[in-house]
Amino acid sequence: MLPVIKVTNLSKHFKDIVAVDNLSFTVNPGDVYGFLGQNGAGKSTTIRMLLSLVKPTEGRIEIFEMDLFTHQKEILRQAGAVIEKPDVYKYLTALENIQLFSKISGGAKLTRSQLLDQLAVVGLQDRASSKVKTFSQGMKQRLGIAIALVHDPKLIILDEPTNGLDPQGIADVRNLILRLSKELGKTVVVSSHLLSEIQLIANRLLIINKGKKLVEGNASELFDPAETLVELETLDNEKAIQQLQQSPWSSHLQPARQNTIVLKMDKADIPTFHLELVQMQIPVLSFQPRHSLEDYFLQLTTSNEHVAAIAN
Amino acid sequence: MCPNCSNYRSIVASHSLAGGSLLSLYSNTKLLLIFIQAQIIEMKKLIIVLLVFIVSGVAASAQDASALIKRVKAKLDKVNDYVAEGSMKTDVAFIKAPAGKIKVYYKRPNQFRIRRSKGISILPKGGISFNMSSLLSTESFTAIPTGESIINGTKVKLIKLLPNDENSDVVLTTLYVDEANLLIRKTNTTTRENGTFEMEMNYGKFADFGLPDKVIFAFNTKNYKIPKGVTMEFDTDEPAKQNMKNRKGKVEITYSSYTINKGVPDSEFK
Amino acid sequence: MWQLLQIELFKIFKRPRTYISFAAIAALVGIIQFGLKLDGNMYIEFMLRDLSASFSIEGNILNGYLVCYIILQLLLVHVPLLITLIAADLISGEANMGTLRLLLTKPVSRTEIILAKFLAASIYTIMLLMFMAILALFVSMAIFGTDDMLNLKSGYVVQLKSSDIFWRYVCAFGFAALAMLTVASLGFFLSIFAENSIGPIVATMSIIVVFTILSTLDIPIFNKIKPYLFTTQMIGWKGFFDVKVNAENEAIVGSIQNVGRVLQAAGILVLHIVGLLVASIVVFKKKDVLS
Repeated sequence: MLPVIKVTNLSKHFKDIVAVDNLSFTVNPGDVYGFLGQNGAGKSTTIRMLLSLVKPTEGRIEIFEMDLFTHQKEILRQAGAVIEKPDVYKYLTALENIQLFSKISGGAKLTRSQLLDQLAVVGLQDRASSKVKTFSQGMKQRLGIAIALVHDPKLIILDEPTNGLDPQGIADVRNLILRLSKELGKTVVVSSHLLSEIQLIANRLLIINKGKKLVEGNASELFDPAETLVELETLDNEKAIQQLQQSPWSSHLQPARQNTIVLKMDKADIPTFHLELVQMQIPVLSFQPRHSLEDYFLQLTTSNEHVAAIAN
Repeated sequence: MCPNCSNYRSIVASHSLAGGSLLSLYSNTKLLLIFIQAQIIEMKKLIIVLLVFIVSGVAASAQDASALIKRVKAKLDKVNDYVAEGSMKTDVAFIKAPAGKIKVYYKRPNQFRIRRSKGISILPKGGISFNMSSLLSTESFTAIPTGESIINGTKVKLIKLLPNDENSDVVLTTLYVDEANLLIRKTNTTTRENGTFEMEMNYGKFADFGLPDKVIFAFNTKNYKIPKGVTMEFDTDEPAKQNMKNRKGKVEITYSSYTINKGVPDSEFK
Repeated sequence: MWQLLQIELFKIFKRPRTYISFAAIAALVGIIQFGLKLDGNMYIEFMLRDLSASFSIEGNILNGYLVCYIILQLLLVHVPLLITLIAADLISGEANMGTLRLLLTKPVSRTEIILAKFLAASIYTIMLLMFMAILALFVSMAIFGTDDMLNLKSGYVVQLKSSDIFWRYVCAFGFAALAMLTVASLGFFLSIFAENSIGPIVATMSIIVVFTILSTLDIPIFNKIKPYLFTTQMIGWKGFFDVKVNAENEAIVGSIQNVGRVLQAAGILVLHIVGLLVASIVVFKKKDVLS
């Protein structure tokens, strides 16, 4: 199976700042490829390079087995994208916008009713003739997606597609992505700074920080239940650690954090562990199980310190 | 020799005859003294005679000049009115004007008007000078002959006209009159308000009516300048057009046809 | 490319600000015509002051042709501002709105986008000038009639026969189009560097205002740099309203005093346009779109 996107040793420098640092990854056909990182980790720059908005300083990007720099038009003809805010021409109507972009997207020429059908996919058929400046953020987002899909592209790139949406909107986008992938067989690259969002849709994941790749892999492997962390807070942490070290759980102990004891275990073992804590008469204040990936992300986003690598 | 000299001789002769009869009565020296006295008296008489002669001669030619002008005017007066067609060329250092067709209207005694048949006309002020008849229309001037000259191979008489009216705009006009054909070939007019003009006329088909085929009108102009800030000039870097200090302008009118004495409505002169 | 041009034109003419320029031109031309109709003779007397000292001038001096000339003289200094309003917004405005990145992820090359946008701006500019020509020339001709035109230059007066004027206006508007396209290409070029349209609009206007002042100031020290300012060349349309004379100082109908100088000015403007357009393409192709 030939990859849809193959990125090799990609770097981008803005003057002294290294935004993307020697990044390599591959996206296979049919993937929902989750692209994770903090704000400012280099996600957006990487995605813009995939769409030829930003010129790489070094490295190679191949999409549909063509070099992006020599086959830009052919590649973009089969790609659709929503980058950050889905900005369209505010002084035009929804229909005028989609019509305008459909003309230059390189797909088949669409009739007015076909365009209206496209708007119906994202639930905007009733507002087709309204100027976009009257739209809510969610409506604009949906219009942006409709425009990205108007020429029926094989590859869809969505940069932070749920930014600024309400929970219903987020759910709608999520369902749309799943449908595109499962029913229509599209390849989707979706970036986010929220693991919880990606977790629900991606089958493959790339996590970057400070422009560098941290991990790339299948979601099923990365979300291995064996990688569950339990964060424990007790009345007397020192005593609790002593008790745990003497128990069979001692091998699960991780380096303690401020005010919390951390243990790693399989998700299935949690009920047993919970019972045994009670039996050891450890006075528990809080008990928080969390997947290690999620934990890592939480650490990244709540402190600037790089706390620990996820996989050990 | 001149008649004055022969006169003088006859006087001397008469005296010598008288002197001969008196020679027996008086001494030679006395006679000589008397003769000298007589000579002086005769000289005075002679000067008076000479003066009278000159003055009467001038008066005679001044009368001639007036008569000549009357004859010229009489010829011009054959024309009661006319409408002429022709073309006009303007040559002024600071004006670039195309040659244009004009219509000229005239009616005795002094109605005169030049009209560009199409477009804007720029004419030197004091347009009366374009017309001989109106120049001569007033009787109240003194004509003084000042000699003769030759213009384009034609012998002309120079006559200066001095208006009798102290308040007249025209101070002095010099006419160069072709006596043989009763045509004014050239004029030179000095005015109080509009400087000095010069007109040169060439005659052809309409010489019988005293109407020229071509008139060249030369005049002095004042300076012309608009600040560049007002005009927002596009600098073409051309050398200052001609010599702007030469403030002599020229207008040349070539007549192609005259319609004479067919009546001209007064409305044309408004 | 044609598709892209159509889209750019569609965008330009869907925006209200496009019509502000047309309204402004209509208003300005109307005001000047109204003023001249009411009080034009005072103006003419003032301009003819020196000439009237020695000459009596007759005819319809304040005719449509002269009025058009006066309007062009006054307006062509200000029209660049209206053109800038559109041209300097072409890239920066889209960057600001965020539509630029969407546009660039479509299968069109950046060169095509630049050319389409520039062509669209050119069409807008030419339409604006044509609109102005109709109002300033034809409407003035209807209101003030026609006659010969007296072009009162600083050092001399040129009388143009009424039959010898129209083609000069055609040329003058053609030249004005070049001048305005120079402005458009400058604004367009500057718009590539910014992510909001205010910056390039103000920058373009400032450059034009400063250059125009330097071009019109008659101060010797500035005269040296004048030929290097495109604003000096922009008034080259006036060159069409001066004629050659023959040996007898008679104006030659259908001639132009200094064709070479006018063509040179036009050439300099064309070089500016091409230069700025090429620079725009080069810069835009290299640009990282981060907006």
